[in-house]
Amino acid sequence: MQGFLDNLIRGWGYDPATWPGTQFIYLFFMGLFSFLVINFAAISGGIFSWAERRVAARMQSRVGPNRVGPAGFLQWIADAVKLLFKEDLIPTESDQILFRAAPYFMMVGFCCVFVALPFSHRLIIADMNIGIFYILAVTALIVVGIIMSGWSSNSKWSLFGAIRSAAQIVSYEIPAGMALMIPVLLAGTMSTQGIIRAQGAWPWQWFVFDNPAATAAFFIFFTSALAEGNRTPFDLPEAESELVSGYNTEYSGMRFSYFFLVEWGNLWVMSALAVTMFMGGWQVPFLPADRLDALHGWPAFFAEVASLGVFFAKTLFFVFVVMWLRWTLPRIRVDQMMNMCWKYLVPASFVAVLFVAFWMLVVRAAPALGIAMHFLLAGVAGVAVVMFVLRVAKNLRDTGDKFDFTSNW
Amino acid sequence: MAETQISPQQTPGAFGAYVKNVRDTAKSFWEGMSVTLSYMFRKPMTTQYPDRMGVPVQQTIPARYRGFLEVDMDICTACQACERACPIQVINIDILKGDGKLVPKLRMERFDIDIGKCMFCGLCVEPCPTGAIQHTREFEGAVMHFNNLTLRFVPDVLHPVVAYKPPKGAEAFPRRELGEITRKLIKAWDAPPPAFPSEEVAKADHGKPKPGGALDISAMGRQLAARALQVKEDKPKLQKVLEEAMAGTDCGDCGYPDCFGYSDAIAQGKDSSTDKCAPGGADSKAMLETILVSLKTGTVPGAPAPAPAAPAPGAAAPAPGSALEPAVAKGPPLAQTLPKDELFKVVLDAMAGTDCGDCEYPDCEGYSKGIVYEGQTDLNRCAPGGEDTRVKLYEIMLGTKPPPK
Amino acid sequence: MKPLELPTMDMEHKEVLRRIEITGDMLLNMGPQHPSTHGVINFLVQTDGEVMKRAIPEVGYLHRSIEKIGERCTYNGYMPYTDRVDYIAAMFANQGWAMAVERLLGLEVPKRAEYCRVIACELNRISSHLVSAGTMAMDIGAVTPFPYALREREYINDLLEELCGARLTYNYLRIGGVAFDLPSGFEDKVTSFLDHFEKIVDEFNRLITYNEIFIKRLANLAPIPAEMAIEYCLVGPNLRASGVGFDVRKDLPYSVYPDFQFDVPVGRGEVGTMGDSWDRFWCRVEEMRQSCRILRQAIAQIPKDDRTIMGKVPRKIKLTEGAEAYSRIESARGDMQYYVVAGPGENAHRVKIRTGSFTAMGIIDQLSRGLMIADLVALIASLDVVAPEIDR
Repeated sequence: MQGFLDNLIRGWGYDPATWPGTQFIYLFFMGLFSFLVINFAAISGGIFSWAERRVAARMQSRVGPNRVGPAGFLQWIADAVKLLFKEDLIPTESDQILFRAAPYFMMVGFCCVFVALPFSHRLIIADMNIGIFYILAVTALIVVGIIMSGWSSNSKWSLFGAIRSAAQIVSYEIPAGMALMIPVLLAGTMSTQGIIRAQGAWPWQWFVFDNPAATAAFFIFFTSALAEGNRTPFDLPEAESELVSGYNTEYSGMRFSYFFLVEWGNLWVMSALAVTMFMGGWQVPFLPADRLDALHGWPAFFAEVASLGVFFAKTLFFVFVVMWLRWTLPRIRVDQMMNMCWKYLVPASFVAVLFVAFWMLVVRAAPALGIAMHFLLAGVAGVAVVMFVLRVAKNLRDTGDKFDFTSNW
Repeated sequence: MAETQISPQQTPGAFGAYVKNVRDTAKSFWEGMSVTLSYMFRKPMTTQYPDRMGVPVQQTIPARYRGFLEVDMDICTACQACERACPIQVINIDILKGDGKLVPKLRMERFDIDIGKCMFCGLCVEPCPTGAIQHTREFEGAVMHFNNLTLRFVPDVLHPVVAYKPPKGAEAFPRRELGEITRKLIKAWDAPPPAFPSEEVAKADHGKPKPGGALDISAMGRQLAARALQVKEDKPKLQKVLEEAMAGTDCGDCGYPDCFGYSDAIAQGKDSSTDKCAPGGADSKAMLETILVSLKTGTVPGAPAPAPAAPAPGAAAPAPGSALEPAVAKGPPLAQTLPKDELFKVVLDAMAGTDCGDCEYPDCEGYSKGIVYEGQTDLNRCAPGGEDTRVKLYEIMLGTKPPPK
Repeated sequence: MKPLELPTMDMEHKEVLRRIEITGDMLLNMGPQHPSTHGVINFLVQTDGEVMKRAIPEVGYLHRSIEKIGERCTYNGYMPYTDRVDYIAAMFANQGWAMAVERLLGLEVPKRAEYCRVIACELNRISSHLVSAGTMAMDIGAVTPFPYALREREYINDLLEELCGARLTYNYLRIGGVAFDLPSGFEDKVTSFLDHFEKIVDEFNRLITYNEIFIKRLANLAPIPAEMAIEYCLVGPNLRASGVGFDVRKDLPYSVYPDFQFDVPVGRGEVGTMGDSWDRFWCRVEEMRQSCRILRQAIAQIPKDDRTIMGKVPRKIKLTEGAEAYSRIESARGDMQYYVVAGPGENAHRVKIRTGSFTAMGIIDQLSRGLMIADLVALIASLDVVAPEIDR
């Protein structure tokens, strides 16, 4: 952040170091950007709520909300207004203080993550040297809010949801953490920006294709992230068909909307994290990170916008994948959820970390092997994507339907 | 499907099971996600009703669709077959039997269909001899007030609709375009609900004559009186006529538990007061007086077309339309005295004349022929005529009173 | 803890409450407003955390005295009420009633009318199984198969609407025949629907039936051995999933079913134990294919020259008092039976309807022991109970 400001100001021909009270200027801009980022979190949550409904509708052969604004884009604002105006119901038998406080805990845990999440080459609130560590720690705060809401609602269904959520989030922290250690190992740093800089813009330079264990680690991380974000197939805490609505059953109005803001905002968090750690982050093709550093003034600004665009495109793709998974898969059961974590993901993630450490030694001895593996894995992934597209086309043909993406938005 | 078929009862080892689970998961996710993604690129199946339809929704519905009912009163024979077919009494028809004198022809005073109650089963459409009652393709039933949901095909009680007499042997009947009538009636549904009277107004109105005076009370009274004369002997029916003259609120002001109690007492001759109906006020009083006076005198007072032969006062006045009844009752039944052709006419006259076909003969003529010429002994079959026809037929054919049902 | 007491409790409930007091278990009232109870049913669940010790179904929330109404209605006027016995598969209830009264009258139904009945019923069977399969997937947590299933059901609804004018409560059958003949071009429409639908079944299988999570959730879940299924009077796909190939259409043939070639899908334990929840689901999916087979044959064989659709039915049905009749048909939920005793007038003295959902509810208490709460939802869905059919 500081670097971004310095660079911008220097580009315009001033030297901030000579100014008096630069710290206050930084502080002001920090505050401004924090405000912007919190709003970004909230607004992205809202927009994803609309996007998810449209995506779900298309996948289910429906139309979805398309009345408010172009293609229904302003639907989320209408919903927010409605939720704001709704009565804030608090059950008589509930624990009043905890019941009121729980949504804020959720919001805090969720917004804090954005501090260490990068958006572009220089756009990050704080590029901490323990960024990953910080993110893992702060995301666990959400579980406090969920347990508080479930307990204070004084409803059996809410409590079920809360306890499931606690078990789930706490368990899946472990495979998620272990899987994230692999990019850390490969990059040699815990700073999110540092990890991105250690990768490249092209797919074969990404960590996900570094070696088979890293690919496995990506899937382990993605699965765990789904579980931590309470997304299908791990939406047990709010399993609609089992627990009515889970931990937020008793909530209404604005407090209810906080829960959903966090749920949809989490889509961005998990996708951005996956892109940062495994998919090359904001790296722009033909513009390596050191060349980006060297730019000043307007070129720097445009390069910044380009890197922002790359990062957004990748992240939004993963947001779409998460939605896509949700509207495809059934939900697993509590014991299977625990089984999967402790019997599949945890051992696999440990093995993957060991394998990566071993692989790094191998690559140090024979660098050509590492590069070959990069290209091999990226090639396999490319073939898989092509096969998948063909499969989709076959599905379309099989039932005698025509390709028609544009009509009836 | 064959690709994902899982071979039964494999028992791999622990690690084998581990790998197999991961492989199956990946494979089935691959299949499932390809299906859902392919639907992203198809046209949605839903259409947006009502504003983004290409054509009005009524035109997209097949012809047999069972929407709101519609009655074309121009070809309704008043046979009440639909009313009898309805399992939940949604249809209400009041008929005024023609006697050739005061009420020249069979008329319908009321033909109501309560759409709020209708279950659209279609059973009423099937027995209709002329196809007057039909399901339309209208189905949007949002109303301002649920009272509006009752479709009244006879808009005004004071202007009853004369029943249609189908020409003999007709196969097709001139029916208006399906849906036209109901659509017109549905338009009234948007009318605002009737204002609820405030408590003061309701109290102040209690017992006063109704404002407006749009109803012609004396005409209504005469009409009721004419009906009362018809059913003079039949106490339960007389009670019903008398009850119609009352407000029908079951308020209990008269000292009887409800309107039934009061009207029954008058009908039985236990009570001769006419002023006890407080909600009905002056209107009820006037109507009840008219009825009671006409019951005493045997004529309708001030009727526009008075009965031609003034019967002797005090004697058992013959009810109009059943002139045969008292005169012949003592002698042998008409069936033994009249020639067959004359008898046939008398029998035909006794029937409701709606050609409904409930008697399992094609029309009234058929049933009459059956009774007179073909030895049909079941005299209970005329459903629209009901008790009246039964009494007459038994009188004519056997000279006895009909057995209780 | 304050002792729980309800004013009207039978022995079993008292027993459950007593045990809860002793063990400190949780009493969970699932329903009647729960989203996955498929109508208004209440389950009294005794749980220890996620694991259920027992779930007692409480029925009667949707009781509408349909059998009693049968004693007041005329024989023809009762037909629309039978639609409401099981509104997902109304055609079968129509047929059961029509057959019972026809037996009382000793009526011969015209051949074409019988074929019309079979076509309507088999279309209805597909639509009913689609709802069942779709809602089951939704109860497991996959929402998307449900709209796919309902979309196919809409095609069937359109067909049936064209045939009889209604989409849900058909009231298509009459005593002695059917209300309408097939409209022109109906056969072609059904054939083209079947061509489309058979592909959709494959797609449906790819999407959900063989999904690994779905299999893991349902395989070995609440298996019903064959003896137990027979003891508990299970019928229809629930019974056949346990390996008992009893189908009224095959074993006690009625209507024109002997004219058709079709198989009775029987549970095989393909992914788990025989008679588990997945087998029940699979049986329904396979039955849809078999219904397609029957429909194709029915459309090919329907008599084209003799277009009579109503037998010689008296206008007013009056029967000897005390005459009895009994009819059995294979409804979408299994063996549906009507028992009628004729009354003195134009209505019956007694009507009794035996439905598959009611007996299926009886087995839930036994099967639920030791399952998890999420499994209870899957179990209810796999038994395909429909609340109005339980209570009538």
